[in-house]
Amino acid sequence: MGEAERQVDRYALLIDAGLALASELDLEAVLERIVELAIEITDARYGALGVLGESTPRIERFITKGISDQDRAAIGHIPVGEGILGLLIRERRPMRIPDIGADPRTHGFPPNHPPMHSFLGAPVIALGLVFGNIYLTEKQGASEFSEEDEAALVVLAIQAGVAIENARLYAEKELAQRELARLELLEERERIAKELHDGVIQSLFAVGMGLQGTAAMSPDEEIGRRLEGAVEEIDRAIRDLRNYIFGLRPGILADRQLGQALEELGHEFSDRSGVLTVVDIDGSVAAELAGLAGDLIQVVREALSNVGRHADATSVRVTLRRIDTGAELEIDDDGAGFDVDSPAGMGLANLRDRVQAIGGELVLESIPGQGTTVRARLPL
Amino acid sequence: MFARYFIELPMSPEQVTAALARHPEEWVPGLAEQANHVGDTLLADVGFGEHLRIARTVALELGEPIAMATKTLIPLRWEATGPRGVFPSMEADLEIAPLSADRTQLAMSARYVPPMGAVGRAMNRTMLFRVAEATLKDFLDGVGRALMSPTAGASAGTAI
Repeated sequence: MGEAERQVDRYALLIDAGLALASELDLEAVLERIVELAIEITDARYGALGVLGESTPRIERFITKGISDQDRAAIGHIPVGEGILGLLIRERRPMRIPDIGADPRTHGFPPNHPPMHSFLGAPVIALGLVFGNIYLTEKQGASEFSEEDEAALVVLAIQAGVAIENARLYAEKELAQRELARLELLEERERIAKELHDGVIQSLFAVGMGLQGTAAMSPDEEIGRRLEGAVEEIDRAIRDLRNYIFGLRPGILADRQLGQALEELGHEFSDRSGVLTVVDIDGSVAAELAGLAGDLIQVVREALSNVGRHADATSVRVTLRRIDTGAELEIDDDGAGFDVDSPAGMGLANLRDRVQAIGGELVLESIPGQGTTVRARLPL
Repeated sequence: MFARYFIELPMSPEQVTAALARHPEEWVPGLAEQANHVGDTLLADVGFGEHLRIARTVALELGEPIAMATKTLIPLRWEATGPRGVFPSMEADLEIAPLSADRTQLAMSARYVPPMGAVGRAMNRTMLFRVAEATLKDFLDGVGRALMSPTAGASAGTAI
């Protein structure tokens, strides 16, 4: 194949790549596809996309192609962004190196890393910020990547940036639509709850009062007992309805999401108690736990109440984070602490029961004089 | 079993709602221990009789106020912390309903379970319902007095 044909072929690949990326709206799929297309367009053996953290310019995710899962596991931790990879992060421009090992800027490879020589990289910019970098190594059929490879990768990186922007905007739109639907559902439930309380419960209560009065006046013992039985049935119906209504409307959560509600709880506690309260919530975890929000609010409320009454703390931190087994809700104070085997520790039985009732586990750590940490671990 | 009692207050519904939204120590009668937040359990003495008062310490739980179409209500319930004697556990709604721009009906619609099982149910017809009603009346009258006190009026931003 001549140079002109190769160029035409590459342009065709780039057009296909643009179409392929434009048609994909799922961010994870877009990221995978970017690496595959970069390998295809540049004839690389290995490819990767290093996604940078939002707050720090370090690699937080490393999506690879061309290397087996087994080899990747043998290498261990993903690169953090030093050496050549770090150079690309810092300089934010395309970079082509004939032999990584011979480059004085390299930090070398970790044990079990496959040998790599030629290198080509380019930043991916989305919404005006560097989202990450595409890394390609081991040019197939040549000793190093060419200028044309670099130019093609730059074009692909631009297409990738647009595709990432699209996918993110689409995800935000989906999230907004789900949130709107959730709010509409809450409003509808609220309306039903009010109608039930204002109408059905009031009527049942009036009937119950009437029957109860009739039973009290009845000279016939048997009729009195039967009427009381009916009153008890009405009582049960009212109780069930109340449980349903108040279950639908979990107080502080009526118009807020879990994360917001926890933050507000922290602010309120801080204002009231004078204890410095820091609330650190992983929003995605909070969203996944929305169905348990009422219980989790109560767990935090009880734990903070204990801190306010018993801990003599100067600060407390409420953290909701993701862990390997699911989610962890932690309330950690720097107060007086106590012996967990003492009656004070037994007093946390309510908290433990509440967490267990929603499928979780409560872990309590406290040492006299060194503060207390309450952790509720929950499956996701 | 059911019990209901109400009082009328020469206050606007907004004033009553605002006053009841404040800290329970400002309006719950017989409060024995402060709570840190609505939803916490309080300890309060409930009972009846002025000169020879019969009372029990109960664990009192208050819910968040809920605005309904025609009224605002505050769910609450109490249960004796020690021996119950003749005192029933009570689950009630404290209801704030407007009568006019400056008059409000404060009512309690309560449901209770007579103590002492079947014996209690039999006694309810002759005696225990009076205990329940008297306890309810005593509690709500106490709430009314607290709301009408100068301190509560001031904290609700009004001069009664």
